[in-house]
Amino acid sequence: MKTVRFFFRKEGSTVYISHLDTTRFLSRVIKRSGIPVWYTEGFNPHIYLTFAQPLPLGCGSVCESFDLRITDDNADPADLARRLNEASSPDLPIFAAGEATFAPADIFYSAYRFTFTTSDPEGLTEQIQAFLARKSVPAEKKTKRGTKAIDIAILSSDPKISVEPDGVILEILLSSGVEDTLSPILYRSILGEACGIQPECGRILRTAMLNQSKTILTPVL
Amino acid sequence: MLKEKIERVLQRVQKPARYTGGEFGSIVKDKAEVDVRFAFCFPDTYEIGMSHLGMKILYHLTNEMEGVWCERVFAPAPDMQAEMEREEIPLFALESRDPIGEFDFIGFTLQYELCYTNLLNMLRLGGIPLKAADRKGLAPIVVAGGPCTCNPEPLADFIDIFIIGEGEEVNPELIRLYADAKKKGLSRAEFLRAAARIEGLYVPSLYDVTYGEDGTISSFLPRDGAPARIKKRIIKDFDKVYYPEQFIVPYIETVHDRAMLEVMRGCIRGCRFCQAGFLYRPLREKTAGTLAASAHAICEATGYDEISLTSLSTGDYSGLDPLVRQILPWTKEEKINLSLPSLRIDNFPQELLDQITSVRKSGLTFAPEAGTQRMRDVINKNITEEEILSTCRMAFDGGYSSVKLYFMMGLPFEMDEDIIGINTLAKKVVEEFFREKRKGKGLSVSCSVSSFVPKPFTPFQFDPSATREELARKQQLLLDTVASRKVHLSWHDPNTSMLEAVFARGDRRLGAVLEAAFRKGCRFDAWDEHFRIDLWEDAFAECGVSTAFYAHRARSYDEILPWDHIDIGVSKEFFIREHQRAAEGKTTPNCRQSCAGCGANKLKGGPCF
Repeated sequence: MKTVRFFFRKEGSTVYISHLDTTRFLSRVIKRSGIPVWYTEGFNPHIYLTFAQPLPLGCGSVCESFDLRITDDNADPADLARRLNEASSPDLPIFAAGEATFAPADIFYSAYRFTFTTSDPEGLTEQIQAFLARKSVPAEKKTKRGTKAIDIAILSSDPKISVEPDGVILEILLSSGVEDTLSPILYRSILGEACGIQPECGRILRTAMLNQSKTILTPVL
Repeated sequence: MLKEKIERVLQRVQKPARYTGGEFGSIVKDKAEVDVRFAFCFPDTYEIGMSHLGMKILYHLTNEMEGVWCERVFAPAPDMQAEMEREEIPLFALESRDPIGEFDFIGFTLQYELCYTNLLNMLRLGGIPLKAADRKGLAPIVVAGGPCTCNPEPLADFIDIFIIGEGEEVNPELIRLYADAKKKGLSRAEFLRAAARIEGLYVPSLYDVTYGEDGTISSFLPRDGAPARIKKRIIKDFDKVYYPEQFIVPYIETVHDRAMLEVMRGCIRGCRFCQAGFLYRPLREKTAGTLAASAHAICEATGYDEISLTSLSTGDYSGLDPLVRQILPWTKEEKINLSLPSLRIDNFPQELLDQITSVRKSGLTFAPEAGTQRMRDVINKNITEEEILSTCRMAFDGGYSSVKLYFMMGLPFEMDEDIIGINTLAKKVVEEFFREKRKGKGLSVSCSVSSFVPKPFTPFQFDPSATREELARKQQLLLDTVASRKVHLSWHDPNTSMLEAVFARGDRRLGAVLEAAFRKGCRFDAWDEHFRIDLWEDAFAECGVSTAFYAHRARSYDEILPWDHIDIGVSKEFFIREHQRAAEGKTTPNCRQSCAGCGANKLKGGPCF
């Protein structure tokens, strides 16, 4: 038995499915692919799937991963990935596989790319720059135990703004650790409110996950 | 532009995956290579529609036709509808995201009467004229099938063609006729006249109805060569019927999200309240071999880890034992659960039962339908109290601790003793549990008591439905006589039942009421949180239509019923006989025990057994 980590992208229709639905989807992909996977013991055996980190509904990604226990020690990870990809939907390509080189707890930041469609790219760029220049942006985060006061300015770093044909692009790191996670959905809505834009105008793509010293852990495209 | 708007809206609505399409197994074709486009519409939400087996079968069957592309359309939830109206997004099909107005066929499946306002809403959101008479040009043709089309009359104003009976053969015939008409440049009227000549297709605009002074139908006459009676279509050789090996696997959880295996069509039981029991006659089974092969193929193609054996009464499927023996070895190997109907598990071999892991020890549901033996005899639910209690005993012995019992109230010939009998029976179930010392969780017996609605093509089609006052009184009686703290009661809103009763046995004059209610904002009438009885009452008052005439009036045996021109194979004489036996409290044996002469065997061209 060995653990293999698989990387996948979420695009098109799979951007709109929750973490739980993604888990169920992948269980079925695994079943269809027929790869030699380990099942939990007990009354209701199921496939043992672990994720690096959940992705909120509404976000695309090029760097998601899950770990699987493979019963055949000689199985070639690349071949397993190919078989899984064939059994998946075109909107959820499984593009790489290998050893599990980092633990979920190693992740401290996620890199996101926001694309804001606008008729006034320069104006919006200025507004976003003004927003980014603020030393403190208090906000409220909903948790299971109620709301928690956070500061978005502290939980985000290394912004980069550019203007491309499809809109204004903001690339930024958001805290994504075991504690102090900042949801990109919440970030978009606070930023949108500050800049007077409809939140749904911004597409969100997770591009990488990073460790405490901001080294990229996930495959770079 | 439209596609961008849709993407934007998806960021704002609840459960956006209802509207994205792109699920595994969904079919995308090249528009340029398609001659006929079919929008298969389910007039309720995605989660409900995607659980419907008929849609799965017909979706894949239609898509196997060369040059035809069938796509799915569901009713948008109110939040999505508001966004669509704000952004001016017309109702679109999931696969291509093209507006349904661009399609050749818009086909609805009608599973329950309370979805009718959703049907009108979907037409309007698609920019399609509501009334059939207002549609010009050949396309789009609005068709409807499903069980409610056995009395299509309330929708006669809105639907171009009703498909009566099973669709596997007639749908392709209709689509081919259309493709030919399109090539030849036929007009809509010419096409509809040609369609009316295909057996099983009912074109309501080709019939004239007149009414007598008492409000009942005095004549119902065809025009332009349309048949006087429309005969239901069935699949004669059910073992050989088309069955998909690929199902669409939804991203989000739906009501039934598993591999469904249709083991048979029809039912031998003849319960007098049950429309499906008569509508799907005669009984036709698949062989265990066919089903086992089908089950394996579906699980492999979809990745489902659960199979359910579906039919009206799977316990009556004669090949159950061999089927389970054939599929158990590989389902165990592949860790696939097999779910069996819990009903009538008493005559199923214990050794097999023990092997079926998915008969989980959580809840058992069971439908005695009525509280006393007299009442169960009236409705021909041929099950005794001893059978109910022995099944419960078996279940309790097997570790179950919660039982759900289904009952009805407002049945014809019902007396107060029968209502009290529901509580008496529930109490006996509780006593059965405590007869022995049992471990595990505490016992819970839930009784769901729905209001009976008389349906066309049943022996009770002649009977009045109970009024709302009567139902309310009986619900109170039930509450007053509850005999154990372990028993939990629930029931339906009498207003919903009244509306269902009106539309189930309605005629063409209800079209105006339906449209009025829709224009006032009625949608999702089957959903308690959306149902607006006040708007419905306004609509009836405005149109001068009496609900009592349709819901609470007894029909004489010789009245021309609105659905008399539909021939489901079971004769009116049979229903009259059964109605008389019900009045006398006499039961009728099931079809395997002896033939009751309902007439459905004519469809098959020979005896049923």
